[in-house]
Amino acid sequence: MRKLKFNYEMQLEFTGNVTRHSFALRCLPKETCTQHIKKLSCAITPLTSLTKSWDAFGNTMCFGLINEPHDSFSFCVSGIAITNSENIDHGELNHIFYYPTPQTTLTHGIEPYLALAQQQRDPVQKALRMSDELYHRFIYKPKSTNTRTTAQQALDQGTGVCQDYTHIMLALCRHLGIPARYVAGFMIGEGATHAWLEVYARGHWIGIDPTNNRVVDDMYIKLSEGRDASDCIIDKGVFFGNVQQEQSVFVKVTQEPLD
Amino acid sequence: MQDLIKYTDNINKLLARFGVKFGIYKNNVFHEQLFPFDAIPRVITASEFEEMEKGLVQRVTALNMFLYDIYHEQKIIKDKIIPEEFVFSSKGYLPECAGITPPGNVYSHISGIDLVQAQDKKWYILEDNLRIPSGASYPLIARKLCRIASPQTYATNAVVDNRNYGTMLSKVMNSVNTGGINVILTPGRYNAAFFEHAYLAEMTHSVLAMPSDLYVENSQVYYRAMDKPQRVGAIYRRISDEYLDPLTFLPESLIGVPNLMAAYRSGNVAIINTPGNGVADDKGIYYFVPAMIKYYLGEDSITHNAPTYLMYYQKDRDYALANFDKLVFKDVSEAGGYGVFFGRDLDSQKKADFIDLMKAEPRRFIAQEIIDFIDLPIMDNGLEVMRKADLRAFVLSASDSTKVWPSGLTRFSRNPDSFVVNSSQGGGFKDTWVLSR
Repeated sequence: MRKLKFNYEMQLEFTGNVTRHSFALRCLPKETCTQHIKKLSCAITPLTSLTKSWDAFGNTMCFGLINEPHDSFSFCVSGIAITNSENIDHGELNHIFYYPTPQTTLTHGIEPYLALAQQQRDPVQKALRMSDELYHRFIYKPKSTNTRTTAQQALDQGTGVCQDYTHIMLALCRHLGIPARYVAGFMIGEGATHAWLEVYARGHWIGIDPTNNRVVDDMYIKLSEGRDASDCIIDKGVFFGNVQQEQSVFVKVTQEPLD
Repeated sequence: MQDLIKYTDNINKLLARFGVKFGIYKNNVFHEQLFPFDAIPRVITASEFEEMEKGLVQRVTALNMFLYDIYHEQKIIKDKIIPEEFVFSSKGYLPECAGITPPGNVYSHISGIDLVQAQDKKWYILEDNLRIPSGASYPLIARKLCRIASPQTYATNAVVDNRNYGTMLSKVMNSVNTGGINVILTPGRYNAAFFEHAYLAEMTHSVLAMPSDLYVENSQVYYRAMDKPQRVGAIYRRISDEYLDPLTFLPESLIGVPNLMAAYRSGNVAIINTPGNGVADDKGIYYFVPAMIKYYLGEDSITHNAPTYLMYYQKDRDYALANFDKLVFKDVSEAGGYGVFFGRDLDSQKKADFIDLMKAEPRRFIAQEIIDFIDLPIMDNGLEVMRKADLRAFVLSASDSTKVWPSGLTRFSRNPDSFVVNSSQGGGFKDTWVLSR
């Protein structure tokens, strides 16, 4: 068990004014069997009224609309999470997680992974074996992919970031009939958001982080879950304005002594 | 009747003048074409309609129950009536809608059920359209013009008045309205059915809204009226699911209303028809509708499905391969008459390719017996000729009742050899008379 202090800041700068800016944020960590959110605050600039709701996967969402002209948009989420090292979520199984999405469909280049998985009987062991193989074959290379890159594109080029590792793993697991879901969140020591997956076996969800080739423990804070990255986008927005935008994200997760 | 036929050209000219058109995109170019009207109506007797109505009400009731179930407990899957892959890999299934109960618990408010009448006079259901079925406005305005052209035709024939469609539709909208105005949301004048959107707004006294006229604030939907914003309680949207809300579905959609789904999930607005209905009118799910009726209502299906074979089941596939040339094949992921072909029309190479594809993706295809449906007379350059025709019946579900509009859109193929009557394939239409005796 750990006490983690987290701080997430996102800043969007526009080259001019925008109006009618609607946004939907999935930026609030949720209460699960593996994490207890002890303190949570969220601030948005420009100041606007927020509506809180949930999506179909149980993720907390914040919605809003800023009509007035503005040339920047930012929000900051901070708080304290008590995380549990057990890494087992007793949540229910939504059968949608058996099925591939367009971003998590692999049709070729999967044989070496499947061959290794075949040597294992347990679904979690299968996933771990494939994760290990992926970790050694795939190269972590920032900016070599984007948010819309599919698992197949990433696998073909052999490089990517945590989202790509996760998409490939989701595709492999689902291909073997193992339900798997995408998780977006934070990790101690990472300066950005992180992504990993959870596989369902023996009535539990078990987290696996293929980018670091390890099982998820109390060093992770979960923000949201879904079929793939597109279900877990932290900030979605549309606005009126012919502008360019630049996004910067700052994440800090530090450990504090337990009370 | 001769009197009515005499005025066909005048009626078609008036239809053109009123903008009764159908838009078609071909090779990315938008063409607007007239939807040719033929004056000889399809006639349905009172007793025949009564039977049809019972069947359609039963069918749509079960389909609505299915939609509730799929987006909640999914009992029909757990009880193994429908294999789960038919639901979860259907393009029409929207996981984003799971857990949402729409106002009044109605999913398919306006259902367009396509039927054909076989030579033995039995009606068969070809497909259910539970997303945004169009077409009611065509017989509606045609009837209005015919009555002006030839009032005596309606004095001498006992035809049930069909001009109540607007009233029926407003009743549906009001029954699920959460407080606020009713709007018809159109993507704009380049939509295939823009005439219909405008006409139905007029008939239901609703506001015809373009996407940018609506916005969501504090989980409520508002219409940007001239003076001050007006709250919206029900949206009869004529925009497909994936374009409805760029923050939930396709992010590149420019014709959506941002955060509409959030307002809808909070129960603050009714969306007509409900997003996610595509899972129930999927051509693969069609196969299971009789089983669905039995499961939810404990009744035998009154309507008849065309005999259908699911390539997913080995037994059905074997049958289809053995009887390839006498079947029609349909790609479940296509609509509007696309992805439909007859086994007998394929040459041996194409046939072999298709069989490979079918084996690789069995979930994607169904096969059906070709129903030899009856021809209806149409006038072609002053001559009466027989052409294939189908019927789209409109079933309207309010929160407390489901009714069938006593009329419908009869579409015919102008090509003497074609069985495909979709308006997007360039056919014509007729009025549908339901007799009061």
